[in-house]
Amino acid sequence: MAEKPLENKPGIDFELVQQARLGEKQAFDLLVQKYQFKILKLVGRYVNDPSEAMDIAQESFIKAYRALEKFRGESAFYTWLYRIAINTAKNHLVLQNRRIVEINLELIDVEKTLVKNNFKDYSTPERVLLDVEIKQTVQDVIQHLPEELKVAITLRELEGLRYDEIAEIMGCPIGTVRSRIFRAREAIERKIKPLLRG
Amino acid sequence: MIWKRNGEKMDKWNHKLLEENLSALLDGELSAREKKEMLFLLGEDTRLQDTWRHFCLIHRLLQTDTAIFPMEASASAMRK
Repeated sequence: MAEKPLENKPGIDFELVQQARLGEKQAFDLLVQKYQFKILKLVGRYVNDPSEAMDIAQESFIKAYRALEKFRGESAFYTWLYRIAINTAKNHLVLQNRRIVEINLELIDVEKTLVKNNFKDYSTPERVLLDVEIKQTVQDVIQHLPEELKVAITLRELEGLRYDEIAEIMGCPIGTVRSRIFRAREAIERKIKPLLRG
Repeated sequence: MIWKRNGEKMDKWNHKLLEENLSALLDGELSAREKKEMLFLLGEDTRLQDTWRHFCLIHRLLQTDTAIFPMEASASAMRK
């Protein structure tokens, strides 16, 4: 059983970290987009209030951004990020219990913007409803995909298989697998795009 | 080669190829050189950034809702 698709390729993350270190904020932006929901889910185990979880997640990304120089790539980026998020959540609870309310983060504007842009409207009722609608749409699209696309995207996303493994199972070249997975994602994207614009 | 005769279609075609690369990038299936190129392009192209964001969202939805997959499409079924 292979690992999940995004998490088993730390190389991409490390390259994004390297670029972010060089001042490419877009690179860190991509990391935020990639892991924001996992981090939200993680900190959600510590706090029940979604807006509170969002604050902690934002703070975690800001801490990670500020500490990028310390990340040496000895562990996967997401492992490192998870550790930061857990510590941030724990500290948040400790501070809350001790009624220490004054936390002066003095965030740099650019950092605020960088992270906030990726969290907009996440916790509103509208966003939750939209999430449900998007999820339903994704389900519908997948069910109506041509069989070869459905199988390819399933093996990739659900089973976490590599392209070469999928190629072996489906009895086709790796390039075909790559194309099928893309076409499946493209079909899904086409349907969810109007919902995201709304 | 229709794509080479028509500038607009050529552009669309190239963009499709880039999006396919983006999909492979997300899966960690690009070579080091391709990754470097795609990361550079991602920083430049807002359309690609949108696609990346959507692909990330799709991935997230598929990871958090396993019921989304019909039974017959499971890997074990495929291996039979």
